Amino acid sequence: MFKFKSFLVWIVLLISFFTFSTVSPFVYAQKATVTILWRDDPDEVPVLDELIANFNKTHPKIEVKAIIVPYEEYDPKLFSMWAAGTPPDIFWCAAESGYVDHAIRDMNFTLNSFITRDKKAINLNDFYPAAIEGATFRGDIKGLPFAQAYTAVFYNATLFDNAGIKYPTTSWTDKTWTWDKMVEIAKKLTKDINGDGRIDQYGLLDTRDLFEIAWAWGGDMFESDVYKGYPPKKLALDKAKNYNALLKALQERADLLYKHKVSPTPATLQVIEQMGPPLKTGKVGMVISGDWSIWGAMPKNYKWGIAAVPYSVQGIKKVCLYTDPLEIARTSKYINEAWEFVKYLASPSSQKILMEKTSRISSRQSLRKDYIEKISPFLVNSKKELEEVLSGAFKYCQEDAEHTVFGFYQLQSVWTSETDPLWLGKKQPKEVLDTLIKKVNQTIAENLKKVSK
Amino acid sequence: MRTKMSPIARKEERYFYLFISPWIVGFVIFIAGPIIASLYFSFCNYDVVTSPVWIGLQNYKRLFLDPLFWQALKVTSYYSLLSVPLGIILSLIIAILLNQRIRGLVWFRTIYYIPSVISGVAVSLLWMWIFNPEFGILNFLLWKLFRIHGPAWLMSEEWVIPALIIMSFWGIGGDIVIYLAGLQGIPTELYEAAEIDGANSWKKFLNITIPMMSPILLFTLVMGIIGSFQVFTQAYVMTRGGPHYASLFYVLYIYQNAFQFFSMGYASALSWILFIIILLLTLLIFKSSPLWVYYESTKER
Repeated sequence: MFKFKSFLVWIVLLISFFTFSTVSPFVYAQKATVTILWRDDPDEVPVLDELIANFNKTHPKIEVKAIIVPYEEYDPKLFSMWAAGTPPDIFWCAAESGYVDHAIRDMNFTLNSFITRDKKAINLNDFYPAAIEGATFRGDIKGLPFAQAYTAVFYNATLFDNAGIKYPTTSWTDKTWTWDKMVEIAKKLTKDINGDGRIDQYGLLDTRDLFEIAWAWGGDMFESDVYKGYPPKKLALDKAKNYNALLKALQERADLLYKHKVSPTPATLQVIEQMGPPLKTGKVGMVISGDWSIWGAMPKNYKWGIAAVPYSVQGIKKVCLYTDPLEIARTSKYINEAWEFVKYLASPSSQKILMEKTSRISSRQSLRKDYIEKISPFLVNSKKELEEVLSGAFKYCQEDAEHTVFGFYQLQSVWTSETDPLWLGKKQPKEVLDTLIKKVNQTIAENLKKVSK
Repeated sequence: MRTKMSPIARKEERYFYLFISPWIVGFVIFIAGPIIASLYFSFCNYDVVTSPVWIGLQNYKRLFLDPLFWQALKVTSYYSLLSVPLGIILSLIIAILLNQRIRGLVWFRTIYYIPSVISGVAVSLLWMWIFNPEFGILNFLLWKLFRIHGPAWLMSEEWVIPALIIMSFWGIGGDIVIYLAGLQGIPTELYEAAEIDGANSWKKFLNITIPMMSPILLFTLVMGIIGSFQVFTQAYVMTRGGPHYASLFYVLYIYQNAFQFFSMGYASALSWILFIIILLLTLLIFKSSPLWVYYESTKER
């Protein structure tokens, strides 16, 4: 006869077996499983898999497992895994939240003691000082960089040749390389090739965010302690110097679109971006951006080049550096094992593999020569010029505010919305800037309430 | 008082609970649990990572002072107010046309239904091309056919919502199928009787088709309103809420707060307000339904 009770008991036993067996301490007693959360970048993931396989072979007691999620889901996944009490052991600022956002929520482990202990293996001096600065929270190192991105001018040399213009300089201290000069060149590069009354080729695309152009024009949107991990209390734009710098920067950017007409409008840019990264489409002569403009294979029908970012204001030069520091979950069960893998990924040999397969620049200075070897074949610049451009890009830089300013993404989304009417040619810079300051400050005040509790 | 059950009935009851248990367990864990949790979170300061801190009604107070909350509500109501009635009228007209006896009708029905099958993201990307102010086919046709300079559509604060409403007609195939089924259920003798009495097509439509279809119209109206208040994909993929908050749909604002700004508590409060709004609207429609919905089984209208 069918025994209802014993049937139920069996069901319960079976369910509990399957539920608890995967997290049972007995199963993994000998082997530590370290999870690492990564974004589904088609170039990065195969390299990560390769590095993990190598690591697992040489470390029999540790098993590293990658969790790959789409870029947009990186933060939600990280935060929900955290809420579930099973955070990934290793993560990084792969999406919108920065390591400071993580640090303020006490998510990442402070690596100081590990770094001192493994001084020799790590060789901290080999990293770009700005890269370590870009992983430091109120004096504590919160992550170990495994790759970088830098800002420069990337250009389509063929379009320069066609227009009979000299390539821009690689020197960051050349006083004649100014914003006005760049705009002049951009005008010459902007063309209606087929004569239908529409521009087919634009001179310049400046992709820098507001805080970057504020830097370039000699101002700052934030107080300096904000970049060290202290939550902003308000924008620093109440200081005339900062306000005027950003106002001027906004005016200059808007002029690119509607006065000089050398940059694509948002509608045109949307079309260009659907064809691929703007520089690679051949529709844009110069791009000021992170070096992702030259990631991956470059189309062979054009020649390419890199130049220094020009002076917007004489004597002032500051561009953005993007550091990718690997962080370890503070609540991880396997902090030591996770550190072993972080060390491995940040090692020169691993960074070299990543660099060679993805064209991402290493955060280690000793690998700069290899990077130049890697990129020089498709560039018009000599190796000496590339050395010059890179040394400037790492000298006149500060870490991306997205990583270092608490709640940055939300603030950015406010100012992105507030500047829409400016880029669409509907409002004037001053009007836009004044409401922007008010709105961002309101958001900052709201965020401060969250931290103080 | 509970009557005593026979052993067989009791056994059957047990089996009932046993076999329905996957659903009950799933409902309690994955639906009821999160719903109750979100009610609790809506009274908390909660960033997902650190544990929630009780702050009472503060999230709800903040909501009424938050200009973006009102903006999101405005955008969503505007969209809902236009897209739902227009969608119903349009799909009813097409359904009536498809209900005529002409050759090749099956093909037309299929063609009108096909768009509903394609996923939201793909459709959004497609319409981004159509709406592009400088290179899109819509503005190209407007210029070629009528010599009209089309608006900037998704890049214009005034035109982004009308654009999304136009795009929403892409998915009316689902409603058309429902209306077709309804139209075919109307007894032909009603029309015949009306014809004998000398009614013209318009009178037949007004006095037979509409009343007979009213329960179905009620259903599509309620579903349409609920759906329109939950618009997310188009805004997330196509406009990100812009330009200048002009397409900041309510659910997009919830998503931003929950998963991008780490204000899960505030997002929960927003969700509960949305729930109450939809509940009230649905109740209002149901309460008003005796005035305009005709059921054959009831005597009066």
